[in-house]
Amino acid sequence: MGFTALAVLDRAYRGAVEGQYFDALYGVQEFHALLGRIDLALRGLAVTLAAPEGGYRPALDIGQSTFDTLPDYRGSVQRMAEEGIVVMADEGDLVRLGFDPAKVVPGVQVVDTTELATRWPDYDGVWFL
Amino acid sequence: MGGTGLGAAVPATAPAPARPRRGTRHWDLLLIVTGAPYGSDMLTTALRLAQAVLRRGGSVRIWACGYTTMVTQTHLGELKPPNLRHPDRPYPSMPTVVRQLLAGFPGQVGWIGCTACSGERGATHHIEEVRLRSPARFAQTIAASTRTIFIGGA
Amino acid sequence: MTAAAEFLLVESQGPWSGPMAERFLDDGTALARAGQRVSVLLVQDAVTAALPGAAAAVDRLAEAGATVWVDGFSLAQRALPADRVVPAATVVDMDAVAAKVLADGVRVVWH
Repeated sequence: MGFTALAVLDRAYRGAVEGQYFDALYGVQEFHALLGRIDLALRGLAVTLAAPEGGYRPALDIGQSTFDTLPDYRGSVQRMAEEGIVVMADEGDLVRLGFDPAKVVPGVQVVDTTELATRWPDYDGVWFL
Repeated sequence: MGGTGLGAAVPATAPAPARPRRGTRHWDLLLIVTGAPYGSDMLTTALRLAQAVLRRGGSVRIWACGYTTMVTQTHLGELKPPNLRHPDRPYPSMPTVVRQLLAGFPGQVGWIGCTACSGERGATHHIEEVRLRSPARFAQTIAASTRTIFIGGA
Repeated sequence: MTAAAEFLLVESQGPWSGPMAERFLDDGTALARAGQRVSVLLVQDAVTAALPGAAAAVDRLAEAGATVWVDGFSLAQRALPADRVVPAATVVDMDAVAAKVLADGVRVVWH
């Protein structure tokens, strides 16, 4: 197998309108294709990327135009899981934010990401994005 | 629905391991720098580490991603705009700083600019010392280094 | 688990930036308790985690057997005297860090 990486995302929402390459979620999908295996762990506020979506609409009116190119966070996370990327979300942070760990985006594994650190030796690289 | 546990799914098939091309030199350290300069001291720290590794005889390649791609743009010239409080004192531009690093350790250090990040930011006029690589070369570049440090923040 | 390796964790943000810095340091503690050799470098704003009473996570690291380094340049930048850091931490220069980075089998994780 090629280079295996664990990507850890603990900071999200870095710019919705002004999103840039590489956006973390986009980047993980690309790394998965380029490297062969990259797992993703969400912690801190980034666990909300795996939380069930409420009324978020990925669009904003600016001027007389509607920009509908804002990130589709949960859609991206679900697609990543469907593509075989292991996506994990920190259980404690989900609970702290009032989410039910049993009700996350389909395919997301709920874990203790500090305990996950004991598995860092299993990866060629651990990258905090 | 999500589940609990630390089980990891391994893809049924995986790409063949990236290998350096025949004849490709091997580097001691690859520093992937993705954050924005002047958002913190991140780039300063990366440069300090590179300098220290080079002084110990190691070889270093820096892969600039994100807004770090801006620091090697030709239009930044050799000097920063004058400091109005000290107009007689020249301040080197970031391309000059990078050039000094490269010139100070010839053959030991390389600077790579990510083409995708550069294009996204209009940072498409790099100084000639910069080698441009697309993300498609990422795995190969990692394979050509003994160790890789990923500095996030993009 | 894979055979013991050595990890160098580099923390650059520190307690004044929010809770995730402490979480990263606790990752180091978990690794050390699991039997890995762990060194932690506090650099940039994270040097403040080595001030007395600043971060219990530094104490936990030391208790777990990890080595805690503090970047002298970052301390000086912030006008923090080197002798103010907690006894469990050692002030180092970047040459020491480079030696560690270049050593065989050391994996670096940067936060």
